[in-house]
Amino acid sequence: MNAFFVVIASRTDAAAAHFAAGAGSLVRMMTPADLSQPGWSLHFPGTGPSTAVIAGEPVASGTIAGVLTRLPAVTEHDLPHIIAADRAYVAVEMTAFLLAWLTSLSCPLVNRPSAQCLSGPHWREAQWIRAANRLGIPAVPAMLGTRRTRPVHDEGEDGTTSVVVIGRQHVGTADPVLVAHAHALADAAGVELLSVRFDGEGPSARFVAASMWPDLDDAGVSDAVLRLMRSRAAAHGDLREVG
Amino acid sequence: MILLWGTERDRPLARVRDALAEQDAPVFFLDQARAGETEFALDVGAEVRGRVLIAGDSCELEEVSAVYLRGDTADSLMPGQDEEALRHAQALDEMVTTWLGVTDARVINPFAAMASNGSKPYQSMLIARAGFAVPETLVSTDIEAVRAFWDRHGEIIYKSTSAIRSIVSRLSKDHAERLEHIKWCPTQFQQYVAGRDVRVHVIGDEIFATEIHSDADDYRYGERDGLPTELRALALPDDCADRCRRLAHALRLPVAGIDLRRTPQGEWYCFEVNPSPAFSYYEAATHQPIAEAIAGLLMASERS
Repeated sequence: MNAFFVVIASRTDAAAAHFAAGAGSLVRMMTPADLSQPGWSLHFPGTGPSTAVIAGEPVASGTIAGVLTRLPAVTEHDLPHIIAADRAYVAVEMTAFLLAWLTSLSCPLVNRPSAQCLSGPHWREAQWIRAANRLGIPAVPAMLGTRRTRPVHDEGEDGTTSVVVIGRQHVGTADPVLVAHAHALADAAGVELLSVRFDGEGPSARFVAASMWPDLDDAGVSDAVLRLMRSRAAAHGDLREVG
Repeated sequence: MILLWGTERDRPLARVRDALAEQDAPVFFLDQARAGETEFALDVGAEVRGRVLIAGDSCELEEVSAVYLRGDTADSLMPGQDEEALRHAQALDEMVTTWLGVTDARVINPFAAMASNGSKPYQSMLIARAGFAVPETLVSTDIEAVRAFWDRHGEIIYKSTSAIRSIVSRLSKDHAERLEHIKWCPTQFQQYVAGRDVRVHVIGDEIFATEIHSDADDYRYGERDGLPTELRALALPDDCADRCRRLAHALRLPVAGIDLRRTPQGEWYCFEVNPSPAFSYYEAATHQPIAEAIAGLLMASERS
């Protein structure tokens, strides 16, 4: 069997489905419904084969060349096939299983999961702002309160600009200062895939927000993600049979 | 200032609060039961500043040097409350959680570190890396794989993969019919490891070990099933105590409740690490000064 990449995504993530379909046999999409298929086995420590079910098909976990995780956690909305009374519990159980399964894989993971989030660190907006400040990156402060008297910040995207970090590459604004800021934030968070928003285009623009789920419908982003997955897998020696 | 977050009825929190009071330590109690009277404001920029206000009492967040968490979710603490009160309590929890992610105060324990307990097999992988034996484990939706695992080990147990409904039970022939349900969700099975349970509380570098005498598969629920449980203080061998310290350190947990089992052959298995241990249950039986040790950790941050 040829090596392939897996995109883990919600059944409602149309961009992920489009990304997988566009990549042909190189990328297969896995949704939480696959976790309700016979065939999954995770053994540890160290005995017995580890098998997965991807897009309905059983595969040896070792044949997976890389994983792109678009799912922070399994939610009840991903599980219409589970009886309503059990959905919340099953969602938590599946999330716990996915964390262990992803951690057991030796192939590249983009982004590597944390115990709080399958797609990377579970940082709230305030934590991104704090990280930016610690890195010396100007940031729009967050003012939060149970009795709000001031807006947190302008939530709209008007007037903002984005840099999408994809490994050592980027898509978006060409201002080298903002690009460097975006890479510094990704490094601080330990992620390879990060969309970073600033409140302007120039070098003095302030950090506004970050997301670990950039828009895969952007052709520049999806092409770069695929290149990153290929290069990470090749470096790991997992793409011997992928064209 | 040392901030305590939880409710008065929580025994571990009450014990730490008493221990801090005995030392005249400055304490602000953020009582979740008084969410309706509480306001919270937080500014995050070059500095982290804010204030929590409960009725007439206030606490400047930048003056907090250490936090002890025993908080529960607003939903479970406020059953039957009206929607507006519940929304306020949830917003307050969210605000406190946000602050705990950005504060420079020592947090016992940080949420990011506590989260490893949310996936038992994930945490077990971390435990194995720290040098403890862990039981052979299979998480599966495959009935044949489970039967083969059962045949290989003779006796196996099943338990939740997550931290929800996490009660350990031995698999018996009575479960054979229900086994087909595992196709809906990966389910965790482990080899049964015979031996004596030991709970180890690691508080900073201090070790408090308790030996548990019970015939229940899960001693925490033994009394419910009419199986008595007896707890006795235990002096751990030095090498095992050192492994416990290393494990708690590797998991970035200044306070940890480690569940061990010593086999008749003298091998130490580790089943899990509780990041918010209900230590008062063990303390009441053994009189080990666990609350005082936690208070000491919190006060060390206050002094530094």
